[in-house]
Amino acid sequence: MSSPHTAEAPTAAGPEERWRRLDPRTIAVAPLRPLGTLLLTGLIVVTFRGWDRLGFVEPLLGLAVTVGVFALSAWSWATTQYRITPTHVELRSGILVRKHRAVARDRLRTVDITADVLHRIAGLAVVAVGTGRQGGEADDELKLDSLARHDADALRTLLLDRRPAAPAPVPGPLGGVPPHAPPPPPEELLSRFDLRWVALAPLSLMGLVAVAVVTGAVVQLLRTAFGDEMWRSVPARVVWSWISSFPVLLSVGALIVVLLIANAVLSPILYVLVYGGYRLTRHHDSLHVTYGLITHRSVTIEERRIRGIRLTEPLLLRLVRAGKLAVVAAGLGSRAEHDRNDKTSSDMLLPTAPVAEAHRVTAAVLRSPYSPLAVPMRRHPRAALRPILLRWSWSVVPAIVLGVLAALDVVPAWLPEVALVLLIAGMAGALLEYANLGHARAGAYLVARSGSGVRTTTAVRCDGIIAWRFRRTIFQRRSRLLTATAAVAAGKGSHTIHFAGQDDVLQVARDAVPGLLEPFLEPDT
Amino acid sequence: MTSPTDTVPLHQHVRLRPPRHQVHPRAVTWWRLQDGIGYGVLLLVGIGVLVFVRPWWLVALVVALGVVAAVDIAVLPRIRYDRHRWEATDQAVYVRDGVLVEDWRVAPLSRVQTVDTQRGPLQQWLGLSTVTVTTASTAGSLKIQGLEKEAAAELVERLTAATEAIPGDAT
Repeated sequence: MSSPHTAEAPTAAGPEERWRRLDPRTIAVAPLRPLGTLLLTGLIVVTFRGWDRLGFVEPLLGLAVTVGVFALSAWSWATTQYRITPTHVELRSGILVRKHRAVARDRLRTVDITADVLHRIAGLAVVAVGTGRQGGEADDELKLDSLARHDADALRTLLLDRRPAAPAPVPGPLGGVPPHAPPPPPEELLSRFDLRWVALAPLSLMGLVAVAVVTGAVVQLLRTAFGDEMWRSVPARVVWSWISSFPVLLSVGALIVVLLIANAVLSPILYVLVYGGYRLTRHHDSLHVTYGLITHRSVTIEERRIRGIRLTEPLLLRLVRAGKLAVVAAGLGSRAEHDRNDKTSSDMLLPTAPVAEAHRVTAAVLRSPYSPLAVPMRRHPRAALRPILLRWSWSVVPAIVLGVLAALDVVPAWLPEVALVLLIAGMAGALLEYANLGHARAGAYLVARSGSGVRTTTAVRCDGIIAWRFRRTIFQRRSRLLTATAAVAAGKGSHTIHFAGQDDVLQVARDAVPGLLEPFLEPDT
Repeated sequence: MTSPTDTVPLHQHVRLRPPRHQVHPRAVTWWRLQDGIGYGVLLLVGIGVLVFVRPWWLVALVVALGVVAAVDIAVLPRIRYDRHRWEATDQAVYVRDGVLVEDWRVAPLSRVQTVDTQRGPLQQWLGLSTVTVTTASTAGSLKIQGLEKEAAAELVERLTAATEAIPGDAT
């Protein structure tokens, strides 16, 4: 390992126990992103104000800020140290407020390596070490930002492979892996990027989301720079008068066409940039997911932490039988979602791809002869439609209110018509949600399906279920509906089978965890 | 895999049976006091305003609140007492609760992480305790509310001993 500036090394410490510093290149790289944003903002403001009004002070100020930021970065580097002891990973940091954080190595569940463009040019990578407590809000991640790329990889190997073997609470998936099997093959490729998947990208609306985000950011930026003056400026007026010279329907139609084209063009590009180079491999009983052409991500998930798999199929992608996969694992999940502002959370297993591929990957990851997600689902009783319609009935309220207001001539007559469309959409949403409901027992897995626009199918290992919860309102008693929730110490912490038939779901729940529910069930007349 | 399922063959109606034990009858008093204090504060505020101004809708609101409070305090705690039941076997803890939304929870002792008791001022005065059993998921926690103080202590001791006897990190 390189760049080991030794500081106050304890006597008789092993080679791993010295305090080390982050890679010195961090000093140069860390401030680049904020400075770039600052520079861009400055440029836009100056361009709009006119270059002739640019004085002497602004560039000087910019230079001073730049120097200051780099100095701070250097100071922060000099005061940050980490070390790997046999038992802990420790990090000391902070310029004014000193922080010391230690993560026990046997609590450590994930080692996540990320490198954005700047890091990659400089040959650096960020290592995030997570313990992933479920349901807790405490940020229990320790981040080393940043190390040399090969140091990062070596650190991951060290932390994941040389960890003292903790007693495994759960055997390998399906219980099919004996604890000391013959030495596993060095690396097994489970799935890799396929150029044909790019054709699915427009239906994932990635491009549309990007357009929305960029538009929002530009408008926000312009407003900060010019305030409400913006709407009255000459360019804005010219554009507006040009648009108003066409009939409304034509403008709206044109806008939709433009957005569709933008989506069709941008989505494949984004898909390739975000997921390009995707590989899913198995190595030493751990799964490795790597992807990303711009921001390179590499996530390692220990197999013994895996509790299940989730397939997500948005409505449009369902039309072409495609979806994406995420893993349900202890130490991953909800934390990953709020931690990253980008959409690529660390539980991703397979990007948008044909469902057939998703099933193949699911079976391979779970070491199962078939994909539990592919088994036929048990439908829920028709009575389930009632509580669902009730929940969607909020879409009735605006329709009625606007209808009354239109009758009183308060609002234009077309508003209720729009509301009526919403109402129909709401009812369609409810029917869709009912149609998506289902559950099944597939070997060692409990499978639950729900959602209206976005359908999710989750398979969780039955031996990962740590508690059962059943609920129903008193109105559902007569229609014999029951909502069952399996608590799992992974992902979002629970998996719910909504509005199932009571007899069905109780039997499935009973068989999923043998011996647990039997004493509490009785025949019902 | 499913050997003892013969007792309940498939395609027969099944239901969750009520857990064996009820909490202490004083729990009814506790819930009544709790509800009473909540409604009492609201009513006091309403009446306080009524001393100065008396728009008709506020009078109606306060009267309606008073009626709801009276019915609620008279009826709900009793029903809740009937509904709230619990049971602890050598294998699992089983709790039922809820009046409008019925709720059953079962956790195997092998997955229990902590067992603890809470006693608010009202509970202390009435000699009651609430026992909370938690698992590694926030979705899997159970609460037995309004047990008699000694009974609660005994239950906690039993559950703690049982969970300590089972190895593993309960995930």
